[in-house]
Amino acid sequence: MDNILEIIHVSKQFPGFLLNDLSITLPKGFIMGLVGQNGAGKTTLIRLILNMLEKDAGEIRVFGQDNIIHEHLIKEKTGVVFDQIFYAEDWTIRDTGNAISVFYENWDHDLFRQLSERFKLPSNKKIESLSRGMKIKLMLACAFSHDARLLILDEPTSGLDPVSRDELLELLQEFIKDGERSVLFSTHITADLEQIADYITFLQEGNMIYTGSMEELLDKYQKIKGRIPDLTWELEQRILGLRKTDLGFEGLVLRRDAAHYNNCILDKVTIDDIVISHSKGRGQS
Amino acid sequence: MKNSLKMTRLDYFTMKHQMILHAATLIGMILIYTFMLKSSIVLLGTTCSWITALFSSTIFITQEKNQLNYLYATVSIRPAEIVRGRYLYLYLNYLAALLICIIFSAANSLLNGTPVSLTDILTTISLSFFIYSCIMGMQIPIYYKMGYARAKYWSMIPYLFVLSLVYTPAIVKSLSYILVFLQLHLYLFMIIGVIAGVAISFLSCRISVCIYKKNRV
Repeated sequence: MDNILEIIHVSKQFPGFLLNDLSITLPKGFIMGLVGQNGAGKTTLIRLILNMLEKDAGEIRVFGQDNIIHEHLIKEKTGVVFDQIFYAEDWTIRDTGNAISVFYENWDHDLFRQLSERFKLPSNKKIESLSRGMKIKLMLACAFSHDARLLILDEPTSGLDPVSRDELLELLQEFIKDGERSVLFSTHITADLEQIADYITFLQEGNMIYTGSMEELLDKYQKIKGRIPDLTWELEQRILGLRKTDLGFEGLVLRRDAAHYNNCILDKVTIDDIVISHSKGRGQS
Repeated sequence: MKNSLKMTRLDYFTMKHQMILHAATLIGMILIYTFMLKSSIVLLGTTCSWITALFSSTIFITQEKNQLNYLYATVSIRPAEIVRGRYLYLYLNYLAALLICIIFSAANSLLNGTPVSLTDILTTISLSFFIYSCIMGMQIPIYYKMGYARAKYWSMIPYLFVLSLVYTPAIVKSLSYILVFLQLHLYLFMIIGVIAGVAISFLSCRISVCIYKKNRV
Protein backbone atom coordinates (compact mmCIF):
# COMPACT_ATOMS: atom_id res chain seq x y z
CA MET A 1 0.00 0.00 0.00
CA ASP A 2 1.95 2.98 -1.30
CA ASN A 3 -0.93 5.43 -1.39
CA ILE A 4 -2.24 6.71 1.90
CA LEU A 5 -5.23 8.38 0.28
CA GLU A 6 -7.06 7.54 -2.94
CA ILE A 7 -10.08 9.48 -4.10
CA ILE A 8 -11.63 7.82 -7.12
CA HIS A 9 -14.26 9.63 -9.23
CA VAL A 10 -15.93 11.18 -6.21
CA SER A 11 -18.89 13.51 -6.68
CA LYS A 12 -21.11 15.35 -4.25
CA GLN A 13 -24.00 17.61 -5.14
CA PHE A 14 -25.57 20.34 -3.03
CA PRO A 15 -28.18 22.83 -4.20
CA GLY A 16 -26.12 25.22 -6.34
CA PHE A 17 -22.82 23.36 -5.97
CA LEU A 18 -21.33 20.24 -7.49
CA LEU A 19 -18.07 18.65 -6.48
CA ASN A 20 -17.47 17.02 -9.77
CA ASP A 21 -15.74 13.69 -10.39
CA LEU A 22 -12.59 14.16 -8.32
CA SER A 23 -9.76 11.68 -8.52
CA ILE A 24 -6.78 12.33 -6.28
CA THR A 25 -3.93 10.18 -5.02
CA LEU A 26 -1.65 11.00 -2.09
CA PRO A 27 1.34 8.69 -1.76
CA LYS A 28 2.92 7.72 1.52
CA GLY A 29 5.53 10.13 2.86
CA PHE A 30 4.40 13.29 1.08
CA ILE A 31 2.53 16.53 1.72
CA MET A 32 -0.33 17.48 -0.57
CA GLY A 33 -1.67 21.02 -0.67
CA LEU A 34 -5.32 21.59 -1.42
CA VAL A 35 -5.85 25.01 -2.98
CA GLY A 36 -8.71 26.96 -4.48
CA GLN A 37 -10.90 29.95 -3.80
CA ASN A 38 -13.55 30.03 -1.08
CA GLY A 39 -16.34 27.69 -2.12
CA ALA A 40 -14.07 25.65 -4.40
CA GLY A 41 -14.90 22.48 -2.49
CA LYS A 42 -11.81 22.00 -0.30
CA THR A 43 -13.67 21.64 2.99
CA THR A 44 -16.36 19.51 1.33
CA LEU A 45 -13.65 17.17 0.10
CA ILE A 46 -12.15 16.93 3.59
CA ARG A 47 -15.57 16.22 5.08
CA LEU A 48 -16.13 13.49 2.50
CA ILE A 49 -12.81 11.88 3.39
CA LEU A 50 -13.79 11.94 7.08
CA ASN A 51 -17.26 10.58 6.25
CA MET A 52 -18.84 13.70 7.73
CA LEU A 53 -20.73 13.96 4.45
CA GLU A 54 -22.16 11.21 2.32
CA LYS A 55 -20.76 11.13 -1.20
CA ASP A 56 -23.06 10.73 -4.21
CA ALA A 57 -20.63 8.72 -6.32
CA GLY A 58 -17.12 7.33 -6.30
CA GLU A 59 -14.86 5.72 -3.79
CA ILE A 60 -12.54 7.01 -1.08
CA ARG A 61 -9.81 4.76 0.22
CA VAL A 62 -7.63 5.68 3.17
CA PHE A 63 -4.71 3.37 4.03
CA GLY A 64 -6.12 1.16 1.25
CA GLN A 65 -9.46 0.76 3.07
CA ASP A 66 -12.92 2.08 2.26
CA ASN A 67 -13.52 5.23 4.29
CA ILE A 68 -17.07 4.23 5.26
CA ILE A 69 -16.71 0.52 5.94
CA HIS A 70 -13.48 0.98 7.88
CA GLU A 71 -14.18 4.47 9.22
CA HIS A 72 -13.43 3.41 12.77
CA LEU A 73 -10.00 1.95 11.94
CA ILE A 74 -9.10 4.82 9.62
CA LYS A 75 -9.83 7.46 12.25
CA GLU A 76 -7.64 5.60 14.72
CA LYS A 77 -4.74 6.49 12.41
CA THR A 78 -5.88 9.91 11.21
CA GLY A 79 -5.25 13.25 12.85
CA VAL A 80 -7.43 16.22 11.99
CA VAL A 81 -6.86 19.93 12.50
CA PHE A 82 -9.63 22.33 11.54
CA ASP A 83 -9.38 26.10 11.37
CA GLN A 84 -11.46 26.34 14.57
CA ILE A 85 -10.76 24.33 17.68
CA PHE A 86 -13.36 21.67 18.40
CA TYR A 87 -12.69 20.90 22.06
CA ALA A 88 -14.74 22.17 25.01
CA GLU A 89 -13.46 25.61 25.91
CA ASP A 90 -13.42 25.00 29.64
CA TRP A 91 -11.10 22.02 29.27
CA THR A 92 -7.53 22.53 30.35
CA ILE A 93 -4.69 21.17 28.21
CA ARG A 94 -4.48 18.20 30.59
CA ASP A 95 -8.25 17.59 30.40
CA THR A 96 -8.03 17.61 26.61
CA GLY A 97 -5.38 14.92 26.60
CA ASN A 98 -7.37 12.82 29.07
CA ALA A 99 -10.64 13.28 27.18
CA ILE A 100 -9.27 12.49 23.72
CA SER A 101 -6.98 9.68 24.80
CA VAL A 102 -9.88 7.28 25.49
CA PHE A 103 -10.61 7.04 21.77
CA TYR A 104 -7.17 5.93 20.65
CA GLU A 105 -5.44 2.65 21.38
CA ASN A 106 -2.06 4.14 20.48
CA TRP A 107 -2.39 7.26 22.60
CA ASP A 108 0.91 8.11 24.25
CA HIS A 109 0.42 10.25 27.37
CA ASP A 110 4.15 10.90 27.73
CA LEU A 111 4.39 12.10 24.16
CA PHE A 112 1.39 14.39 24.68
CA ARG A 113 3.07 15.85 27.76
CA GLN A 114 6.35 16.31 25.88
CA LEU A 115 4.60 17.95 22.93
CA SER A 116 2.66 20.26 25.26
CA GLU A 117 5.94 21.34 26.82
CA ARG A 118 7.57 21.77 23.43
CA PHE A 119 4.64 23.85 22.14
CA LYS A 120 4.65 25.85 25.40
CA LEU A 121 1.12 24.77 26.30
CA PRO A 122 0.74 24.96 30.10
CA SER A 123 -1.09 21.85 31.27
CA ASN A 124 -3.48 23.75 33.55
CA LYS A 125 -4.39 26.49 31.08
CA LYS A 126 -7.96 26.48 29.77
CA ILE A 127 -8.61 26.30 26.04
CA GLU A 128 -10.68 29.50 26.11
CA SER A 129 -7.61 31.45 27.16
CA LEU A 130 -5.31 30.07 24.45
CA SER A 131 -4.28 32.13 21.43
CA ARG A 132 -5.23 30.90 17.98
CA GLY A 133 -1.70 29.63 17.37
CA MET A 134 -1.76 27.70 20.64
CA LYS A 135 -5.12 26.16 19.78
CA ILE A 136 -3.73 24.90 16.48
CA LYS A 137 -0.70 23.52 18.31
CA LEU A 138 -2.98 21.74 20.79
CA MET A 139 -4.89 20.07 17.95
CA LEU A 140 -1.53 19.06 16.44
CA ALA A 141 -0.31 17.71 19.76
CA CYS A 142 -3.44 15.55 19.94
CA ALA A 143 -2.96 14.36 16.36
CA PHE A 144 0.71 13.48 16.94
CA SER A 145 0.05 11.78 20.29
CA HIS A 146 -1.99 8.95 18.79
CA ASP A 147 0.60 8.16 16.16
CA ALA A 148 -1.50 9.39 13.23
CA ARG A 149 -0.36 8.21 9.81
CA LEU A 150 -2.41 10.75 7.91
CA LEU A 151 -2.79 14.33 9.01
CA ILE A 152 -5.64 16.34 7.51
CA LEU A 153 -5.46 20.08 8.02
CA ASP A 154 -8.20 22.48 6.95
CA GLU A 155 -6.94 26.08 6.80
CA PRO A 156 -4.72 25.72 9.87
CA THR A 157 -2.48 28.69 9.04
CA SER A 158 -5.16 31.33 8.45
CA GLY A 159 -4.92 33.93 11.19
CA LEU A 160 -1.54 32.73 12.41
CA ASP A 161 1.39 35.09 12.69
CA PRO A 162 4.42 34.38 10.42
CA VAL A 163 6.47 32.84 13.25
CA SER A 164 3.69 30.40 14.22
CA ARG A 165 3.13 29.56 10.56
CA ASP A 166 6.79 28.80 10.08
CA GLU A 167 6.79 26.61 13.20
CA LEU A 168 3.76 24.72 11.93
CA LEU A 169 5.39 24.09 8.56
CA GLU A 170 8.51 22.78 10.29
CA LEU A 171 6.37 20.43 12.35
CA LEU A 172 4.68 19.07 9.26
CA GLN A 173 8.00 18.39 7.60
CA GLU A 174 9.16 16.64 10.73
CA PHE A 175 5.92 14.63 10.77
CA ILE A 176 6.53 13.06 7.35
CA LYS A 177 10.26 12.56 7.88
CA ASP A 178 10.06 8.78 8.37
CA GLY A 179 8.38 8.33 4.97
CA GLU A 180 5.41 6.48 6.49
CA ARG A 181 3.07 9.44 7.03
CA SER A 182 1.35 11.94 4.80
CA VAL A 183 -0.33 15.30 5.13
CA LEU A 184 -3.31 16.75 3.30
CA PHE A 185 -3.18 20.48 3.83
CA SER A 186 -5.91 22.86 2.68
CA THR A 187 -4.92 26.51 2.73
CA HIS A 188 -5.42 29.92 1.19
CA ILE A 189 -1.86 30.91 2.02
CA THR A 190 -0.22 29.21 -0.92
CA ALA A 191 3.23 30.56 -0.01
CA ASP A 192 3.15 27.98 2.81
CA LEU A 193 2.61 25.20 0.32
CA GLU A 194 5.49 26.33 -1.85
CA GLN A 195 7.74 25.75 1.15
CA ILE A 196 6.60 22.26 2.03
CA ALA A 197 4.16 20.62 -0.42
CA ASP A 198 5.18 17.86 -2.79
CA TYR A 199 1.79 17.57 -4.46
CA ILE A 200 -0.93 20.08 -5.23
CA THR A 201 -4.62 19.62 -5.89
CA PHE A 202 -6.25 22.72 -7.27
CA LEU A 203 -10.04 22.97 -7.15
CA GLN A 204 -12.21 25.61 -8.72
CA GLU A 205 -15.98 25.76 -8.27
CA GLY A 206 -16.08 22.04 -7.50
CA ASN A 207 -13.99 21.03 -10.51
CA MET A 208 -10.49 19.71 -10.37
CA ILE A 209 -8.14 21.92 -12.35
CA TYR A 210 -4.96 20.08 -11.43
CA THR A 211 -3.68 17.30 -9.24
CA GLY A 212 -0.08 16.15 -9.27
CA SER A 213 3.39 17.20 -8.37
CA MET A 214 3.87 20.83 -7.38
CA GLU A 215 7.04 21.10 -9.41
CA GLU A 216 5.17 20.05 -12.55
CA LEU A 217 2.43 22.57 -11.87
CA LEU A 218 4.87 25.41 -11.37
CA ASP A 219 6.79 24.25 -14.39
CA LYS A 220 3.69 24.15 -16.56
CA TYR A 221 3.10 27.91 -16.56
CA GLN A 222 5.09 31.10 -16.89
CA LYS A 223 4.12 34.60 -15.99
CA ILE A 224 4.07 36.88 -19.01
CA LYS A 225 4.36 40.67 -19.01
CA GLY A 226 4.49 43.01 -21.97
CA ARG A 227 3.45 46.27 -23.59
CA ILE A 228 -0.08 46.69 -24.96
CA PRO A 229 1.11 47.00 -28.63
CA ASP A 230 2.66 43.52 -28.32
CA LEU A 231 -0.64 41.98 -27.21
CA THR A 232 -1.96 40.37 -30.39
CA TRP A 233 -5.40 38.75 -30.59
CA GLU A 234 -3.75 35.33 -30.84
CA LEU A 235 -1.64 36.00 -27.75
CA GLU A 236 -4.66 37.32 -25.86
CA GLN A 237 -6.44 34.00 -26.44
CA ARG A 238 -3.52 32.08 -24.99
CA ILE A 239 -3.16 34.14 -21.82
CA LEU A 240 -4.81 32.94 -18.66
CA GLY A 241 -5.99 35.62 -16.23
CA LEU A 242 -5.07 38.49 -18.53
CA ARG A 243 -4.79 41.86 -16.78
CA LYS A 244 -4.47 44.99 -18.94
CA THR A 245 -3.42 48.39 -17.62
CA ASP A 246 -2.26 51.59 -19.31
CA LEU A 247 1.30 50.47 -18.78
CA GLY A 248 0.98 46.99 -20.25
CA PHE A 249 -0.47 43.55 -19.67
CA GLU A 250 0.28 40.47 -17.62
CA GLY A 251 -1.05 36.97 -17.17
CA LEU A 252 -0.04 33.32 -17.41
CA VAL A 253 0.90 31.26 -20.42
CA LEU A 254 1.85 27.64 -20.84
CA ARG A 255 5.61 27.21 -20.72
CA ARG A 256 5.55 25.07 -23.86
CA ASP A 257 4.25 28.11 -25.80
CA ALA A 258 6.87 30.47 -24.38
CA ALA A 259 8.95 30.47 -27.55
CA HIS A 260 6.20 32.44 -29.35
CA TYR A 261 6.43 35.47 -27.09
CA ASN A 262 9.64 37.16 -28.18
CA ASN A 263 8.86 40.69 -27.10
CA CYS A 264 7.50 39.82 -23.71
CA ILE A 265 9.06 39.21 -20.31
CA LEU A 266 8.63 35.69 -18.97
CA ASP A 267 8.97 34.96 -15.29
CA LYS A 268 8.44 32.17 -12.73
CA VAL A 269 4.91 31.65 -11.41
CA THR A 270 3.67 31.12 -7.90
CA ILE A 271 0.67 28.99 -6.89
CA ASP A 272 -1.16 32.22 -6.10
CA ASP A 273 -0.61 33.37 -9.71
CA ILE A 274 -2.07 30.12 -10.98
CA VAL A 275 -5.11 30.22 -8.68
CA ILE A 276 -5.85 33.88 -9.46
CA SER A 277 -5.36 33.49 -13.22
CA HIS A 278 -7.60 30.43 -13.37
CA SER A 279 -10.32 32.26 -11.47
CA LYS A 280 -10.20 35.05 -14.07
CA GLY A 281 -10.22 32.64 -16.99
CA ARG A 282 -8.69 32.83 -20.44
CA GLY A 283 -8.36 35.95 -22.56
CA GLN A 284 -10.19 38.22 -20.12
CA SER A 285 -9.06 41.49 -18.66
CA MET B 1 -20.62 -1.04 24.28
CA LYS B 2 -16.98 -0.30 25.06
CA ASN B 3 -16.98 2.62 22.61
CA SER B 4 -20.31 3.94 23.92
CA LEU B 5 -18.70 4.05 27.36
CA LYS B 6 -15.85 6.07 25.85
CA MET B 7 -18.42 8.58 24.65
CA THR B 8 -20.04 8.61 28.10
CA ARG B 9 -16.63 9.37 29.53
CA LEU B 10 -16.12 12.16 27.01
CA ASP B 11 -19.49 13.66 27.99
CA TYR B 12 -18.41 13.48 31.61
CA PHE B 13 -15.19 15.36 30.76
CA THR B 14 -17.20 17.90 28.78
CA MET B 15 -19.62 18.57 31.63
CA LYS B 16 -17.24 18.09 34.53
CA HIS B 17 -17.13 21.76 35.49
CA GLN B 18 -20.91 22.24 35.27
CA MET B 19 -21.76 19.07 37.16
CA ILE B 20 -20.79 20.69 40.46
CA LEU B 21 -23.35 23.44 39.86
CA HIS B 22 -25.99 20.88 38.85
CA ALA B 23 -25.31 18.77 41.93
CA ALA B 24 -25.46 21.82 44.20
CA THR B 25 -28.82 22.89 42.70
CA LEU B 26 -30.20 19.39 43.07
CA ILE B 27 -29.07 19.00 46.66
CA GLY B 28 -30.50 22.45 47.47
CA MET B 29 -33.83 21.40 46.00
CA ILE B 30 -33.77 18.11 47.91
CA LEU B 31 -33.01 19.90 51.20
CA ILE B 32 -35.90 22.33 50.69
CA TYR B 33 -38.36 19.57 49.73
CA THR B 34 -37.23 17.19 52.47
CA PHE B 35 -36.62 19.38 55.48
CA MET B 36 -38.69 22.51 54.84
CA LEU B 37 -41.68 21.32 52.83
CA LYS B 38 -41.65 17.83 54.38
CA SER B 39 -42.50 16.42 50.95
CA SER B 40 -42.94 12.72 50.33
CA ILE B 41 -40.20 10.73 48.64
CA VAL B 42 -42.50 10.19 45.61
CA LEU B 43 -42.87 13.93 45.05
CA LEU B 44 -39.16 14.43 45.66
CA GLY B 45 -38.25 11.70 43.15
CA THR B 46 -40.53 13.00 40.42
CA THR B 47 -39.30 16.57 40.91
CA CYS B 48 -35.77 15.25 40.74
CA SER B 49 -36.52 13.61 37.39
CA TRP B 50 -37.87 16.93 36.04
CA ILE B 51 -34.83 18.84 37.20
CA THR B 52 -32.36 16.27 35.86
CA ALA B 53 -34.19 16.34 32.53
CA LEU B 54 -33.88 20.14 32.47
CA PHE B 55 -30.14 19.88 33.18
CA SER B 56 -29.73 17.43 30.32
CA SER B 57 -30.04 20.21 27.76
CA THR B 58 -26.70 21.69 28.90
CA ILE B 59 -24.69 18.93 27.21
CA PHE B 60 -26.38 19.81 23.92
CA ILE B 61 -25.73 23.54 24.49
CA THR B 62 -22.06 22.81 25.19
CA GLN B 63 -21.84 20.53 22.17
CA GLU B 64 -23.22 23.24 19.91
CA LYS B 65 -21.26 26.10 21.43
CA ASN B 66 -17.93 24.28 21.19
CA GLN B 67 -18.54 22.62 17.82
CA LEU B 68 -18.05 19.23 19.46
CA ASN B 69 -19.73 17.57 16.49
CA TYR B 70 -16.41 18.07 14.72
CA LEU B 71 -14.63 16.32 17.55
CA TYR B 72 -17.08 13.39 17.42
CA ALA B 73 -16.59 13.18 13.66
CA THR B 74 -12.82 13.00 13.89
CA VAL B 75 -12.29 10.51 16.71
CA SER B 76 -12.40 6.79 16.31
CA ILE B 77 -16.05 6.15 17.19
CA ARG B 78 -19.18 5.26 15.22
CA PRO B 79 -22.25 7.53 15.07
CA ALA B 80 -24.45 4.96 16.85
CA GLU B 81 -21.91 4.73 19.68
CA ILE B 82 -21.87 8.52 20.03
CA VAL B 83 -25.64 8.58 20.54
CA ARG B 84 -25.74 5.54 22.82
CA GLY B 85 -22.94 6.99 24.92
CA ARG B 86 -24.90 10.24 25.28
CA TYR B 87 -28.02 8.35 26.45
CA LEU B 88 -25.94 6.39 28.90
CA TYR B 89 -24.41 9.59 30.27
CA LEU B 90 -27.81 11.25 30.71
CA TYR B 91 -29.38 8.18 32.35
CA LEU B 92 -26.39 7.80 34.68
CA ASN B 93 -26.91 11.43 35.70
CA TYR B 94 -30.53 10.62 36.46
CA LEU B 95 -29.61 7.50 38.45
CA ALA B 96 -27.10 9.48 40.50
CA ALA B 97 -29.72 12.17 41.20
CA LEU B 98 -32.32 9.57 42.17
CA LEU B 99 -29.86 7.85 44.48
CA ILE B 100 -29.12 11.15 46.23
CA CYS B 101 -32.89 11.73 46.60
CA ILE B 102 -33.43 8.33 48.16
CA ILE B 103 -30.47 8.70 50.51
CA PHE B 104 -31.61 12.14 51.72
CA SER B 105 -35.19 11.01 52.09
CA ALA B 106 -34.19 7.89 54.01
CA ALA B 107 -31.92 9.99 56.23
CA ASN B 108 -34.80 12.35 56.92
CA SER B 109 -37.07 9.44 57.84
CA LEU B 110 -34.45 8.06 60.20
CA LEU B 111 -33.95 11.49 61.83
CA ASN B 112 -37.70 11.83 62.35
CA GLY B 113 -37.96 8.30 63.66
CA THR B 114 -40.39 7.25 60.91
CA PRO B 115 -39.86 3.93 59.10
CA VAL B 116 -38.46 3.94 55.55
CA SER B 117 -41.17 2.62 53.26
CA LEU B 118 -39.88 0.23 50.60
CA THR B 119 -43.14 0.59 48.66
CA ASP B 120 -42.66 4.35 48.54
CA ILE B 121 -39.09 3.94 47.34
CA LEU B 122 -40.13 1.50 44.59
CA THR B 123 -43.00 3.77 43.55
CA THR B 124 -40.58 6.68 43.39
CA ILE B 125 -38.12 4.72 41.26
CA SER B 126 -40.83 3.55 38.86
CA LEU B 127 -42.70 6.86 38.52
CA SER B 128 -39.66 9.09 38.28
CA PHE B 129 -37.97 6.74 35.77
CA PHE B 130 -41.13 6.71 33.65
CA ILE B 131 -41.37 10.53 33.73
CA TYR B 132 -37.67 10.95 32.98
CA SER B 133 -37.85 8.44 30.09
CA CYS B 134 -40.91 10.16 28.61
CA ILE B 135 -39.27 13.59 28.72
CA MET B 136 -35.85 12.46 27.52
CA GLY B 137 -37.34 10.03 25.02
CA MET B 138 -38.90 12.96 23.20
CA GLN B 139 -36.36 15.65 23.99
CA ILE B 140 -33.13 13.98 22.85
CA PRO B 141 -34.31 13.21 19.29
CA ILE B 142 -35.55 16.81 19.06
CA TYR B 143 -32.09 18.09 20.04
CA TYR B 144 -30.39 15.77 17.56
CA LYS B 145 -32.78 16.81 14.83
CA MET B 146 -32.77 20.56 15.36
CA GLY B 147 -29.80 21.37 17.58
CA TYR B 148 -30.29 23.19 20.86
CA ALA B 149 -30.60 26.72 19.49
CA ARG B 150 -33.50 25.84 17.19
CA ALA B 151 -35.08 23.27 19.51
CA LYS B 152 -35.15 25.50 22.58
CA TYR B 153 -38.95 25.96 22.49
CA TRP B 154 -39.80 22.62 20.85
CA SER B 155 -38.00 20.85 23.67
CA MET B 156 -40.70 22.10 26.07
CA ILE B 157 -43.23 19.83 24.34
CA PRO B 158 -42.14 16.70 26.27
CA TYR B 159 -42.71 18.51 29.58
CA LEU B 160 -46.19 19.61 28.52
CA PHE B 161 -46.91 16.11 27.28
CA VAL B 162 -45.87 14.51 30.58
CA LEU B 163 -47.82 17.11 32.57
CA SER B 164 -50.97 16.40 30.58
CA LEU B 165 -50.36 12.65 30.93
CA VAL B 166 -50.12 12.97 34.71
CA TYR B 167 -52.98 15.42 35.26
CA THR B 168 -55.56 14.32 32.68
CA PRO B 169 -56.85 11.32 34.72
CA ALA B 170 -57.11 13.57 37.79
CA ILE B 171 -59.00 16.35 35.97
CA VAL B 172 -61.17 14.36 33.58
CA LYS B 173 -63.64 12.53 35.82
CA SER B 174 -64.39 9.77 33.30
CA LEU B 175 -60.70 8.76 33.40
CA SER B 176 -60.37 8.77 37.16
CA TYR B 177 -60.92 5.02 37.21
CA ILE B 178 -57.34 4.76 35.93
CA LEU B 179 -56.04 6.32 39.14
CA VAL B 180 -58.18 4.02 41.23
CA PHE B 181 -56.94 1.04 39.23
CA LEU B 182 -53.31 2.13 39.67
CA GLN B 183 -53.75 2.56 43.42
CA LEU B 184 -55.26 -0.90 43.68
CA HIS B 185 -52.51 -2.49 41.60
CA LEU B 186 -49.47 -0.52 42.76
CA TYR B 187 -46.87 -3.22 42.06
CA LEU B 188 -48.25 -3.83 38.58
CA PHE B 189 -48.09 -0.08 38.02
CA MET B 190 -44.43 -0.04 39.13
CA ILE B 191 -43.49 -2.85 36.76
CA ILE B 192 -45.37 -1.25 33.87
CA GLY B 193 -43.69 2.10 34.63
CA VAL B 194 -40.21 0.59 34.47
CA ILE B 195 -40.95 -1.51 31.37
CA ALA B 196 -42.55 1.45 29.57
CA GLY B 197 -39.60 3.68 30.54
CA VAL B 198 -37.09 1.17 29.17
CA ALA B 199 -39.11 0.70 25.94
CA ILE B 200 -39.43 4.47 25.40
CA SER B 201 -35.70 4.94 26.00
CA PHE B 202 -34.71 2.20 23.55
CA LEU B 203 -37.07 3.51 20.87
CA SER B 204 -35.89 7.06 21.42
CA CYS B 205 -32.25 5.96 21.18
CA ARG B 206 -32.88 4.21 17.87
CA ILE B 207 -34.62 7.27 16.47
CA SER B 208 -31.77 9.50 17.65
CA VAL B 209 -29.18 7.21 16.02
CA CYS B 210 -31.02 7.48 12.67
CA ILE B 211 -31.29 11.26 12.98
CA TYR B 212 -27.65 11.67 14.01
CA LYS B 213 -26.41 9.54 11.13
CA LYS B 214 -28.27 11.84 8.74
CA ASN B 215 -27.20 15.20 10.20
CA ARG B 216 -23.76 14.48 11.59
CA VAL B 217 -22.14 17.89 11.19
